Amino acid sequence: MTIDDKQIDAWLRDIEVPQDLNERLLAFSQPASTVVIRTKRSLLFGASLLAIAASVFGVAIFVQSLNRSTESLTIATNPELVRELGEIKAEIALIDQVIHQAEVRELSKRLNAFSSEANVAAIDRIQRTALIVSLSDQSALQLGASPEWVRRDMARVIQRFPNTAGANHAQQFIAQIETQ
Amino acid sequence: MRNDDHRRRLYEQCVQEHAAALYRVAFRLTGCHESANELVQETFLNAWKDLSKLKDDSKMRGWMFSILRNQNSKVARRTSRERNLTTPMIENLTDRSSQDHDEFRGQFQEALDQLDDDHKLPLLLVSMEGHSVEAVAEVLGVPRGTILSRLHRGRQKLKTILTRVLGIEPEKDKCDDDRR
Repeated sequence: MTIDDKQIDAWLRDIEVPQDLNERLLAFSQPASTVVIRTKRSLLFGASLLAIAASVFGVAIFVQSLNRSTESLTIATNPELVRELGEIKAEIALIDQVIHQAEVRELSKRLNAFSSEANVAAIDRIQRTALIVSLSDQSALQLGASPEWVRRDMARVIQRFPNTAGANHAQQFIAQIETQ
Repeated sequence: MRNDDHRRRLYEQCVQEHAAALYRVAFRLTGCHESANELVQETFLNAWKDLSKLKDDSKMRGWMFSILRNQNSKVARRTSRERNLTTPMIENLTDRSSQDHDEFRGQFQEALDQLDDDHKLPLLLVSMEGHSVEAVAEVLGVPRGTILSRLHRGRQKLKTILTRVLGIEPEKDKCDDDRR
């Protein structure tokens, strides 16, 4: 037996391509599921409210510092407001992270994949998503959202993420709203 | 600017037309199916995200191979590759000839791995996948003559290695005969 160029080319092509390759790759172009879209929308609403609250705080402090120039109050020197703004910023960052994680989880699910680690982590992310959505609903109520809207959104958390800490929190909070 | 439908259609066409070819090249570059799967997925994920940057749809094939090549370089820099040459996708352990075939595939891949990427890539893209020398020169960013010479040298090296590893006689080089 001898080796010629044709033989080498044939050996080079002797590879079995997985039968489900195209199916897996096509998953990238599929639209996000409605669960992810709605979760994202809900979280973005919470984030927007928090961002508005942060802006209002900023303007209030600015006006306050103009009015009370003798007290020299600024955002940087008022520890309580600095802390509150810090908390709001942290919450916005967390919401961003949860949105990102929900998308990553969706993608991992679609890949059906080679990374079992991603699937294990996904369980934790569902818990976190539920908790953050219910907490952001609670914040939304405190920031002036209508109780009816908050109740409806929390009911969705209970329905979509049953048996999670977020769903339990939502259930307790709805009961609290209804008794008030 | 491309709309979502056009982008999706283009992507789906790309998967149908090029996924198998990219997979074969990925397998030859990485030496195992798991790494090839990951490399192809990364390549298509990047393609999906950056599809709007592709100005000329007719250059899709070259563009995809450029992404694959860049991804492979990144992975090669980041991690040492784990090779699993003895695990075929479809195993038939009772079939002796199938075992021999798998063993040969492993040996062939080991021989191919001894080539550096400069010599391996032209072999994979031109000999294995049938790209034109000009197209490969453009993808790799080197002159046409360089591709031709790397192709020739790559083949010769591979024949020499295979001869040593498998004990097969190489075919006489016609150029050598002509020179005599």
